[in-house]
Amino acid sequence: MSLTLGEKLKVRSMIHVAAEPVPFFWPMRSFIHHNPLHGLEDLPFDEATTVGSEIFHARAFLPRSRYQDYLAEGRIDQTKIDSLLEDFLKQEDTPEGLDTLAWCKQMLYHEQTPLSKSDALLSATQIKAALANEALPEEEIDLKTLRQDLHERLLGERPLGEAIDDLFGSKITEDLNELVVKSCLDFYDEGQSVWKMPMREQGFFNAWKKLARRNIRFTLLGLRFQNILEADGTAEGTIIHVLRTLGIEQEHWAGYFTRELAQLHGWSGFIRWREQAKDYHFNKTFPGDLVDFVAVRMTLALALIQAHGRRGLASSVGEIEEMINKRTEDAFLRCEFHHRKVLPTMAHKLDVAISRGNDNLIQRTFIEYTKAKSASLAKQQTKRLRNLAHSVDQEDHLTSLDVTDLEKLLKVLAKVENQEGMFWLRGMEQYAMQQVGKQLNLAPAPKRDERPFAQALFCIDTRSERLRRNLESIGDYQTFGIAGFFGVPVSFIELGKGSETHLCPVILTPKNVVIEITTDALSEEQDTLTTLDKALHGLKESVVSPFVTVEAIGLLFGLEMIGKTLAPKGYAKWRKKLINKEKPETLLLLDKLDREQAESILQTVQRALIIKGIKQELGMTAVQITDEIVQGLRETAMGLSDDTAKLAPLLKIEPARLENLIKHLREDYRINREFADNQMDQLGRIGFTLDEQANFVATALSAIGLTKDFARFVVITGHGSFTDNNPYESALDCGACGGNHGLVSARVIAQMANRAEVRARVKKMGITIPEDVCFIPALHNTTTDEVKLHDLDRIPPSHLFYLDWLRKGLSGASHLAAQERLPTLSDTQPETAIEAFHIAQRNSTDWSQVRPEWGLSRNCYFIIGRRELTRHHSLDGRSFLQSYDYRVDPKRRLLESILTGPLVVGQWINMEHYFSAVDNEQFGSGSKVYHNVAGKFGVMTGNQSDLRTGLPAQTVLKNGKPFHQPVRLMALIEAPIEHAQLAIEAVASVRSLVKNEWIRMMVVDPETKLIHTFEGGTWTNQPLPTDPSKPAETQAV
Amino acid sequence: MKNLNLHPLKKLEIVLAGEHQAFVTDLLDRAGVKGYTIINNISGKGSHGFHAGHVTFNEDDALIMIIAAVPEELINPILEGLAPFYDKHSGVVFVSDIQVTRVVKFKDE
Repeated sequence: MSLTLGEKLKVRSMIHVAAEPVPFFWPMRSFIHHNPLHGLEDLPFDEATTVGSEIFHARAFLPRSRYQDYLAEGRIDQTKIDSLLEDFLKQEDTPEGLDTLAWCKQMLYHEQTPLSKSDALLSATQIKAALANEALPEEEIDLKTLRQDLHERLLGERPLGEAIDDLFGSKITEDLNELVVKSCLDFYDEGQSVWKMPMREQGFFNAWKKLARRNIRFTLLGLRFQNILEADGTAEGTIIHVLRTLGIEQEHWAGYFTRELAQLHGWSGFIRWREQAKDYHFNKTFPGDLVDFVAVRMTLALALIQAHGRRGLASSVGEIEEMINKRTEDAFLRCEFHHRKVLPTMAHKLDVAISRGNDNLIQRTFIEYTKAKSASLAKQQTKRLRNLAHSVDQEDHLTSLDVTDLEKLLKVLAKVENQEGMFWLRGMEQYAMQQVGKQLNLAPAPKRDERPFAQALFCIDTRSERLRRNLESIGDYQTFGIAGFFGVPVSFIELGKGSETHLCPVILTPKNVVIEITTDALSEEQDTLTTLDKALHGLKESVVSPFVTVEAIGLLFGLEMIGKTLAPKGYAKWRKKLINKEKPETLLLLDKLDREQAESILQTVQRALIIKGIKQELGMTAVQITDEIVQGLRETAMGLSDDTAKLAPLLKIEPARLENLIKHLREDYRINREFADNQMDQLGRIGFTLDEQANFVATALSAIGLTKDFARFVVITGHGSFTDNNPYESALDCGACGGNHGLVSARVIAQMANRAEVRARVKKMGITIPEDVCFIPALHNTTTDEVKLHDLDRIPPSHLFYLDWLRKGLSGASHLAAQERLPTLSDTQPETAIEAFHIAQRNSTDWSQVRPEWGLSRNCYFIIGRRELTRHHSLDGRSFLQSYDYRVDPKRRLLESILTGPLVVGQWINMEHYFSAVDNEQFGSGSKVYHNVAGKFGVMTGNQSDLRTGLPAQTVLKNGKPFHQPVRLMALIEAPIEHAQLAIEAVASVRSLVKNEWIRMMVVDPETKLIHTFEGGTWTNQPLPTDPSKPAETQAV
Repeated sequence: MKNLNLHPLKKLEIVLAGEHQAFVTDLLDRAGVKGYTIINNISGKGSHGFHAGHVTFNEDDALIMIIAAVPEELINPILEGLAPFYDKHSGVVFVSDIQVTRVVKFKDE
């Protein structure tokens, strides 16, 4: 069998589409919050939860008893649920004369256990009889319906291994998952394993199949691969071969792939992320995409199923269909027995009947079993119905219902139970909306005569809210909220690190590179000078070079060999020093290089490479290699001139050997025109032009409405979490910075805004930043709430007098924020703010501390508006705060940017918390205590499991109950309603998130004082609940 | 001026959401397409209404167009490969006749 090109591409495309419900899993070094159901966001939220629960075998809502707890605590608006129930019942056919609403309310608010789901084995007539304490009327089981149920349950898109497990009690799925995980661990390892899988550069499937035939473990399991792998050598062909052998119909292929992928959604999510990360080092070196993954999985699945089939058991779709059609009773009993739904009293009898396989015995057991099961279900059901009826005082009504009405009642109750998650959720959200509505203040900020002492920009992150509120309370401070990359997407090359880090939300790809540089001398020991030292020495004489590091050059030039071949000992030592000791003072290279500077760097690196090449190829020593030789070789290799006649005598070699040397230089050392152009392009990525810098500064300031009345200090605060021994540390860092610390982004924008040339350009855009304004970058440590100012050596002497005052203000706010936050982390109640601060500091360095901070847990609101709107109230660290003033944004561009960027990232964070809280085992990653690092990029539970995605229990649960209250993100925009609606409509992705209610959208209109809410496809409005002219007392949400 | 030698080829214009760019370029690479041009952040109107092209903070949502000149025999396999993708996602593919001078840039001799 050999596929055509078109067929191969089609398989790839099908798998790409089939994998979309599986969310990306980023390597945990930079933890990215994501919505586990991101691939289903084109569906309305409630539909997506139904589909998602099925695909991922997970729960999308909390159990009823948790919601009842919230109800008791007053965190749910019960009237909302009541009215939803009323509306719902109006659409339903309810029994006459019965207060169905009371029944539904009683069931939701007071009953702990759900009524049993409807079952083919129990009819309304039987329940009616049971309610009247009569013997159950015997009803013949409808084999046709039973067959249909079995078909739906076992076949179609369901992986065949799972169906076989259900029918025969085998462990194919378990074995398959285990073997696939093992294969993935071998291939995708990023340096954790001592034993390296060979041939990985050939790709996952190719490398795997070569080893599979010799794998002892596979042989011991009785797996035979020869025929499968020889049918078609390619991954795509193998997949088709397996599907056809198993007899899966083509219309089910896409759904079949989805279910196979969802079985190990951590691994498939990682591979899905990896295959599109074209620059990811390990992907480039060891390519292995989802098609490879599916091919490996399908090969193993077929081998396991065939091993099972060799015992004479059904092992293809056709054979299972035949079993369902011809031996329906047998198939039914088997599913009951192996699916743990069997009545305990009948378990033994079923076991005997199934293992003997005698037709008569199976018939007899089937009749006996279905009768017993009907009776047991009837007993359970009537007990619960009677309890309910008793509670609503309608026992007589219940017994007098005729079969039709009873059927109606059962149907309605079952429907309510089916949808109750959404009822509860809406009730919780309604309460939260009312709470925030009460606290809004639409009055303009009071007029002031002088400028504030300081202004501070914080990330929109929920953890900033406490610090901001406390800072404002202790002095004349104004604060602003903005996504923590401050609108400047940066690809950052840190001092001493040979890789680029993207400091921006993952939905962006930075185009500009910023390099961290230092004035510290590179080489202290001059006598260890080697080629690269010389190169760097050369660079020092060029215009920009003092600081450009080896890694930066190597990386930008695509020269891995710079590190490996050329790295001098001295450099390695220096780098080690850098890692082990305090980092020296550094600067950021932010400005674009001009052509001359770039060429100078290029030439210097080329010279260094040529010297290395001559030494290597001709064995000459450094002293023998003159500048004339290097220059001649460079120009010849680059094709700028032909100096061969001159070079041969200088190098004392034959022309043929010279030609060979030049060929080597061109090909191996990449001294050629094409590569040089490429390198010039790369150098062109460094830094920003003055216009770009001015644009970024002006956009950031307008976005938050800070366009006049600047204070002397404008503190730009990034944030990061600092803990020891925590693979999830990055999950606590800045999401707007791609899961990294936010300090670099703060330094970047501060450095830009402090430049006189930038300010001159910003002034032309209508924002005048007075000369004495100083932008200071700072870092907010969210584990301790400490704020540390950076780049203080750049502060003008005239400001030093005030600096101490600023520091005091910040540390006061830190202490107060820590005091407010600490009681949620432990039972200790610190008496003073300073004591709280010390405890928080201790937590951050405690190795055994599994929960150093709560991170973004309990996030709930996303408020887009002026600080005045909520400044007088505590939002309890539960709100993202994005500063925005619609008055400076008549064209709505800023608002659209906020909606597409920060709000979308906020929604990912919110959904990650939501699903990790409602089902921590499936959507979250379970307890950290059992985690082991896998392959250096993820964690597994125990020795071997799927990669754990989502948040650990310690982040969202407290004492086994959700600490994070799972609600959808409630976004609130302060703007005239048309303004907000037009912005939402203009952005397709946000429009769909709002329409499908992945975000609950509210708009507070300062002109009409109405609050508008979007629900069920329409906007409704109501007046603001409190008098906005009088700010209420501070109260917690 | 010397007579230019023109060779017939097909032009593909593929419009899709930016987040799927890697999927389509990978598919083109595997089909043996030798090069393509990508236009980012395009705007326009289709069955999903108007799509504005000025969104700055979210590249995944922006629409892009991938343009490639390919030999005729690759058109069907590429369209067959894209079919399952466009069954689920919005976007369009245009195929048109074009002529090029340096055919070696687009197909193996």
